[in-house]
Amino acid sequence: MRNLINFFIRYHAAFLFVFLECIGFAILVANNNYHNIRFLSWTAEISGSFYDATNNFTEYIHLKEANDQLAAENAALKEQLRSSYNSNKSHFLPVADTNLALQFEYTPAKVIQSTVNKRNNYIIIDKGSENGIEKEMGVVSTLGLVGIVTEASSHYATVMPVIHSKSRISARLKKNNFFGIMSWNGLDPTIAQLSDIPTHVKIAEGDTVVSRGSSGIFPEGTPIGIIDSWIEDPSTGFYVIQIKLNNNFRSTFYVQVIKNIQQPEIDTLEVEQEELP
Amino acid sequence: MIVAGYNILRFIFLVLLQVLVLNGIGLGGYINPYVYVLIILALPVETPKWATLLIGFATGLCIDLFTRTMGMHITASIFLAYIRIVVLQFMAPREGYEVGSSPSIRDMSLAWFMTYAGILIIMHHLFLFFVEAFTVDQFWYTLSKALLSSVITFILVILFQFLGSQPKRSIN
Repeated sequence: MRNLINFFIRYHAAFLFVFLECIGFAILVANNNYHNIRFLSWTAEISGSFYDATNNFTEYIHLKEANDQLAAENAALKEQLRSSYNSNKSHFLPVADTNLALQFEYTPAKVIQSTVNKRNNYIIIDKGSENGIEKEMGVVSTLGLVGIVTEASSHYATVMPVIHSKSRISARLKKNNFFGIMSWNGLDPTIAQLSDIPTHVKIAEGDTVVSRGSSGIFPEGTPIGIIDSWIEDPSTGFYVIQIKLNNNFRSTFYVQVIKNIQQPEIDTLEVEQEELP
Repeated sequence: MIVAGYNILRFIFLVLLQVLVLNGIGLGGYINPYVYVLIILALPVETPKWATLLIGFATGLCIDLFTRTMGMHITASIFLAYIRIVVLQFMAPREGYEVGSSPSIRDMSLAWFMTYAGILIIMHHLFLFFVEAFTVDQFWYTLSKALLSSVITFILVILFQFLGSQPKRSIN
């Protein structure tokens, strides 16, 4: 016992160091989305491979059960198939004209703090939930797309700009409507990357890239940037396109936050879509 | 007492300098010097080990609160505090440190301080930048960023050593 206590006293610095580092990393992972996700993906990989191994055993035991379940499910699906031949009695009903209903509302805001030289940059604006700012609202400047609101306190809001490693924005080529996902590789704050455009599409330097407006966060056609250069990835059949961003993140001072009045409607549809079998 | 007060003043000054001035410079969007490491580097040699670690924690926490990078500077500063303890042990003069001395050019020598600060700054910056990246995917990019920032921090730290007037060491 005496020895144990002496041991702890002798190496108290090392123990305290490990203890404090644990606290530090806990704070790091709890407060930073990026680190949190990387950490989770590591742990998921470790636990995943473990579960995989155990699964291989249990699968054999439950094979009969699984067979029964599949048979029952097949039967249920067949029933649905027959019933789907019923005639469709629904027809159009006159509804109020919503062709020109207001969809997007803009709130001007000022940037009070921003970074460009980090891997995960952020912008803080001087409008918050008291001004109607909510999570997942789009933010644009006069030049083009800026980012998406990630947090809103009562008077301020944090924006995840395009130049954030987690930023994923659905973008399309203006001239032929092919769309892809725009992300940022963390290197140059004036260049973002657009992927998922198939290589048979003809593109040229200077082609305009605009938002697709698919999730309702940004109005369709919000300018993003122009094509700077590209490489073809023969293994996937897609381009990796470098986009010169319209918006200069080093000098963004005034932005507008976009509220989509019809957002709840879009969200409901998306949820219903995901719940389909 | 005077020494403690002087260290507290340096703490406040360097934290403010770091968050208000240096973080805003971001030389070329690539280099970001972190001069606040001097808070831990310049602590008196006799500072207890546990106190060094706790001061490291507090320093990192202050910087993190201002830069909204919760955790990055905390972990890096604790790491710095710990390796300072180790490095001080290794670099101790044969007859031990003089009572009341602090790791500075005044109390030691220019060569001693440059080695001391060089090792600690590079270790701290490597730790910090790799924790920020949290991946080894862009290893060389992160490495070069860390090393270049270390050089600038190192120059600034040496500069501060010449500029900062420290209280005369009491003879006892």
